[in-house]
Amino acid sequence: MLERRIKVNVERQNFELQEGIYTQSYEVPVMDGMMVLDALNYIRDEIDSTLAFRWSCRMGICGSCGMTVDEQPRLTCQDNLNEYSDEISVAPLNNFPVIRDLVVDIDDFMQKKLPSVSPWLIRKEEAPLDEGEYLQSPAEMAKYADNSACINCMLCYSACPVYDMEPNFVGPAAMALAQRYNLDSRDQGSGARYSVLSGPDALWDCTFVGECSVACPKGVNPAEAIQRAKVEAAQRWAKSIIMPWSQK
Amino acid sequence: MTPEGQTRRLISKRPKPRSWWLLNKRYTIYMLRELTAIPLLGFVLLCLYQLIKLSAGQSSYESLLSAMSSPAWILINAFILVASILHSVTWILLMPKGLPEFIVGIRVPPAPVLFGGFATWIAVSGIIVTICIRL
Amino acid sequence: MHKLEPMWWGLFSVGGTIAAFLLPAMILVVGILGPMGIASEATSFVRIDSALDGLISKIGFVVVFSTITMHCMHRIGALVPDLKIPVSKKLASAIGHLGALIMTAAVLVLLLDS
Ligand code: SF4
Ligand code: FES
Repeated sequence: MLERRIKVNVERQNFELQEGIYTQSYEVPVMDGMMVLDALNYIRDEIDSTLAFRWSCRMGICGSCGMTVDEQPRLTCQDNLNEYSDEISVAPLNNFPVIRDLVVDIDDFMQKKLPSVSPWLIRKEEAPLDEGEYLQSPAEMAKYADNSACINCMLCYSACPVYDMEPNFVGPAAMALAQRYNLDSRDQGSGARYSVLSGPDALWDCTFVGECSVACPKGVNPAEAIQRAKVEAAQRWAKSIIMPWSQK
Repeated sequence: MTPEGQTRRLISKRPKPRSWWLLNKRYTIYMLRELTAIPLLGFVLLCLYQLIKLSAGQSSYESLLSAMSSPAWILINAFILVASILHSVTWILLMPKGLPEFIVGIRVPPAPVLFGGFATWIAVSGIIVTICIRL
Repeated sequence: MHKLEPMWWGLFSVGGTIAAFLLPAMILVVGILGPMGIASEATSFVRIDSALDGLISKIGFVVVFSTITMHCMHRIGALVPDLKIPVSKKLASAIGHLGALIMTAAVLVLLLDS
């Protein structure tokens, strides 16, 4: 079998080697079934040990290997080189500050945005243990199942022009996760979440570009989740105007 | 080089051009969709102007009408028409996301919503245009 | 001000929906068929004047006009950051909403007058 060689153009930032953003090209032999991440690992192991990038599980579940491949946000461990030509570009995710090379800073999401929507089940009062589990029917689970597949890979933020222009924008994954809990029959905390969602830099800043849902590698549909949350938030608002006493 | 032990974080995002919406075709369609608001506003202003002329009396309204039959005006209105059709198509395509839940409270598959949306649009348009021609 | 966001969005959505279903036909009649003489009766002074006489049709006109205007202005406000125009996003959207309200007020005055 003829060996296929591809050229990988990596967009780098490493001030110890060179100031500013620069591109470095590497030749990588590829075998059938190799992913973009495998090519990067080859580069680091065989050619240039200074290249920095993040990965862990190589099976699309840890969410740490997101990068911009040929100008599209991709999960590189799931991104088959067979689908690309013999020259590809790899760059860090868009819209995030770069720490080094292909590694971006997602602290803001992890430490502020994600916790801000309380992504856990909230109960007004926990049922006593001897009452057993909270039961849920398959139909009730289906309401939020899609939104629960998120692996926090940040591809949706990278695809989102609103986030590019407003770094404080709560953003697609966090709002989809808020909906994941809002729609859970066991949850009772949607009131608190809606006050965040309906507040500044959240639902009402979304202009429904829809690119988050295209970018998501896990079948989450943040654009639709946000749209549904807007409808619900607007209804809650109208209700609070028409029937102020209904506020709990 | 920074002194030993000290890390320097690069804080530059990848630069993004002002014409980011040309980067892929979905962004471009999005931008065209949003830009339809400008020609539509043009039509709204035209209506307002017509209303002003209308309340100023028959002759002033009719002078506007005859001005509007010039090729330039027709061309402008044809452009606005194209923009408004683009608005209708993109709006109806987005309807399955959110609207049905508002009405019936449950998730509905997109196909019937899309079909209903386009069918209603075409029917309503047909009725309006036919009535106006037949008057 | 943030309290009003759901209202702006609601009006934007209603206006967008009305515009989607009615505007192409209306533009075709008012802007093209009327002036070209194919539907000249529909845009004639007498027709329009008498059509806008009744209270119901006045209300209908105001609802359609104001929501579509709000739709356009809301979107144009959102275009400002999208086009990376260096004006604050909040200011742009406030101006947009205010503009739509002023236009609606103008229509109200004109209709009450006639
Ligand atoms: S919603 Fe999808 S794209 Fe966004 S962080 Fe979660 S898994 Fe990644
Ligand atoms: S390495 Fe874990 S998702 Fe790619």
